[in-house]
Formats: sequence, C-alpha cells, structure tokens
Amino acid sequence: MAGLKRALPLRTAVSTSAGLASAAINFLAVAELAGYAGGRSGWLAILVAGVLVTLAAGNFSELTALYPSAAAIRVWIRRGASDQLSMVASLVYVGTVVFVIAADAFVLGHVFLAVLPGVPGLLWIAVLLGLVTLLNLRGIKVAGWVQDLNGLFLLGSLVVVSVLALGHVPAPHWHTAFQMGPNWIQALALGVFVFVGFEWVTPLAEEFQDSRVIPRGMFMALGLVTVAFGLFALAAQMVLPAHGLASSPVPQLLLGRAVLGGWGFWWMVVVSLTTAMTTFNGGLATASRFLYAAARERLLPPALSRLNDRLVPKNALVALAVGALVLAVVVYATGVYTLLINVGAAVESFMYALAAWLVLSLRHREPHRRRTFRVPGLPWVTILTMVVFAGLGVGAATTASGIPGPVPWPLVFVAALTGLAWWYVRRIVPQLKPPVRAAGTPTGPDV
Amino acid sequence: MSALGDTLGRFAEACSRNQRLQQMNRDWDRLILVQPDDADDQHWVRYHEGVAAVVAKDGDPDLIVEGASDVLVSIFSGASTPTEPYMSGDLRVRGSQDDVMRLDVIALLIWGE
Repeated sequence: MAGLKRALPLRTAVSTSAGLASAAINFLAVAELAGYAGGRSGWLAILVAGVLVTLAAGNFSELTALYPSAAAIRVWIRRGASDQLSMVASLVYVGTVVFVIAADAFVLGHVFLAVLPGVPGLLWIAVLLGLVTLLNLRGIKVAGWVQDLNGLFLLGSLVVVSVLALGHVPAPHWHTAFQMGPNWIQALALGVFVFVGFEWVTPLAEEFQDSRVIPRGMFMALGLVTVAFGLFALAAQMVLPAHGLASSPVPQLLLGRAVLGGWGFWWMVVVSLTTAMTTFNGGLATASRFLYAAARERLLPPALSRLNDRLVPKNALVALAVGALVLAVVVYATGVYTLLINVGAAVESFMYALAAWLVLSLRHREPHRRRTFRVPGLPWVTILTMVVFAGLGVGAATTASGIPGPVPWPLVFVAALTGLAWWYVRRIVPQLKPPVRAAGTPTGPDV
Repeated sequence: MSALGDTLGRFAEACSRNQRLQQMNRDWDRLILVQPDDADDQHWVRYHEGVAAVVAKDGDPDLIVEGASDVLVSIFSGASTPTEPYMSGDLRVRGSQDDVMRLDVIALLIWGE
C-alpha cells in the first residue's frame, strides 16, 4: 500500500483531541458539577466520567478504523443504521458545535469584563468572533505546532496552578474529597461535558498515515484532560468558597488569583483567551467544512457550498458565525449558560450511546470488513456503554438549567432540536436533491 | 488501457483545458494515486502548474483516492458527484483536507453540481 508524502504525527492527534475537548466553558461545567457532587468530590465525577468516555472512545476508534473519513458520523450512521437517521444526527451534532462556540463566547465576555469592567463583554465577543471569522475567510490557518503548543499550555497551566493550590490545603480538609452527595449521578452526567469534542479528531483520519494513530491520540488526550480538569475541580473546591465557585462566571480567574495573586489572575486570563479563541477557530473551521459537504450532497441549501477565491466555504462560515453570535448574545443577556452545558452533555451522551450501537450493528452488517482497531469486550461492554450513556444523557437533560420552574428545559431543547432536524430531513431535503445527470457533460458552474 | 485509465486520461484533459482550473491550480503541485480496491491496478495523476496528466509512479502520493472501479469511473467521468459515494463510505480519499476539498472543487468546476 502506498504511503502519503505528508501525514500528521501522533502529537497532532493528541493535541487536537485534547484541544477540542478543552473549551473555556469547561471551567463553568466544573463549577456546576461541583455543586451537585456534594462534599468536594467533583474531581471524582470527572475521573469516573473520564473512564466512561474512554469506553466511548473505544467505539469511536473502531468506527474510524472501519471508515476513516472526514464525513465521520455521517458515514458511520448511514452504514450502521439509515440515511435519514444519519442526516438528523449530523445536523444535531453540528448544532452542538454552535452551542460550544456560544458558550465559550459567554466565558470570554466575562473574562474581559473582569479585566476591563468599563467595556461591555458583548462588544469583545462580537469583535473576537468577527476577527476569527475574518481570518478564516482569508484562508489564514493556525499552524499545527501552534495548536499543539496551545493544548499543552492549557492543560499544563491547569495542572501547575491546581497542584500549587492543593499544596496549601490543610490536612483536615482532605477527607471531604471523597464525600459524595445525593445528586452525584447528576455531577457524573455533567462530567461528560468536560470531554465534549474529544472525538472531533476523527474527521482528520484521512490525514494520518495509519488510522491507528487516532485511537492512540484520543486515549492519551482523554488521560490528559481527566488529570488536568480533575485537578482543577479538586483545587477549586478545596480553595474557593462553595458560593464563590457556584456564582462566578470565571472560576478559573478566582483560582489563579487565590494561588498566585495578580500573576495567577493574568495567567488564567491568557489561558481563557487562547482556549476560547481556539474553540472559535476549530469550531468554525470544522463545522463550516461539514456544512459545505452537506450542501454539496444537497442535505443543506446549495448556497452553503459556495466558496470564495481562497476555497473557503464563505456562506457556511458566515452563517455559523452569525448563529453562534446570536446564541451568545441571548446567553450573555439571560445568563442561562447552564442550559448549553446540559444540552451539550445530553447530546454528546446520546451520541456516545449511538456510537456503541453502531459498533454492534456494523459488526453484524459488515463482519468481514477490515478494521485496524477492534474494541475489546464486545458485546457486553459495548452494550453496557450504550445503556450507561443513554442514562447519563437523560440525567443531563433533566438536570436543572438555571431557568426557574419544573420544566426540564434541556430535555425540551434537545427534543425540539431533534424534532426540527427530523422534520427538515423528511420535508425539505427531498426538494433540495438535484436531478440525475448524464455522464461526460461538463457544465462549468460558478463556485 | 483499462476503463478507469481511459476515464482518467479524459479527466486530465478536461482539467487542463479549463482555464479557470488552470488559474486556480497554477501553484498546486500534487501527485494523486487512484487505486481501485477490486482490481490490482494503480493510476497516477500529476497536477503541475495548472496542467493535469496521467503519469507513471513518481514517489509517494499527496492524495490517495480509493473505491470500487465502477465508482471511480463514475466519478472521474462526471456521471456522479464524488459527494454521494464519499458520504456513503464507498469512496475514500486520504490526504490533507485542503487537498481533498480542492479535488472536490475540480470535479465541481468540470462537471457541475
């Protein structure tokens, strides 16, 4: 078999997976789950979530080893289930990218508000989101080594600051690190959110010489994210007062200041900014390419497949940026960021359950197709993974979202989003499909 | 020459005749391997200074396009878009995403949507 002239290295698989999982909104997810964990056992919820997500990573590894494609879930669900389910799930999935961008914008706005209280946070959100969109439209890309360094910078910073913080914790406090409250399962469900996006490295499978690099990269990244955010959760719960942790939109800045004073504050400001900008950039670049491909197959309106002279899908990029900005404005104005965290955790958990089911289905449908990675423990571990994540998805979707009243708004939101996507696929997509064309008839369209 | 070889020859000619493609790809120097997975057969296409040509093997490829022979013939003849078989897993393309996207744009510019 011929090898590619240029291929991505393992470190890029690790940094991409870890970087996509490490959004700035994770700091708020940690603060939220800490409130449910009881005692100071938020770190334990993250650790257990990390172990469970590793099981999900095994399933994604087998799927990407079977069909290493940038279209990823679109291909896997189509092969393992049906075309319609594939389209619906893909649309909902790309929606979570917009949620994460909007949620990170919320954090970014509050970081700037903490630094420069006189300037509205929304202005910073609009400017920085606009800047990243403009850079993407110009075809300017962040170099691979910058992404690698940025991922290491975030996770390394969290480990260092957290360890320094824990060094000052008096011995009598440590027993609370294992106290688990009655809502600990909710904390575990929200813990899944800390890892959201780790599997978005799978669309890069075509760029690696060997598709086995992706599983290795994902497993290593999950280990790094678990350690870094687990330590952060433990340090934040040990050092910060419970009320301060729960009510602040920037707990990472509070921890930095508590540990290293002004230096720590600014250090965490830089960490937050680079992390949010990476989320903007990675999210817009990945999702805009997905929208382009979806528009090319007429799942979405053809206008979204239009490219500029730098071969960037301009309409798709602008549509995503506008969508994220509108959502960010709504979240910033209302402060209901927990809704996005809960919806994100629920959608991802359901997706992990679906991935487990796809592994089972494809082992049955395509038993002889070559797989460079086979998930161990089939079928029982896979079935267990599916059941656990389906349960965690329900748990996250029914967790309080900050909106008063008994209605489980995250569940309503997920159901409405899925229903809308289903209606769109059934009613609108058939009208977008082009007529079959004859062979060998060049048409020379505009691009 | 095989049906796929003939098809690729016509595809390369169509690419080289298209002035817009020549302009767009003037700096795109890539070696593409087209490899059917149901036949012991390899085809190489070199894009250089805006001109495409079927060539002999000349080092490691920048892009590898794989699929059943009939799928590859269908795509490179313009009978179907690459998107449909790509999304169903019947067409696999290995290489950088930018190059994969450019290949899709080439097909789009020659054959339309």
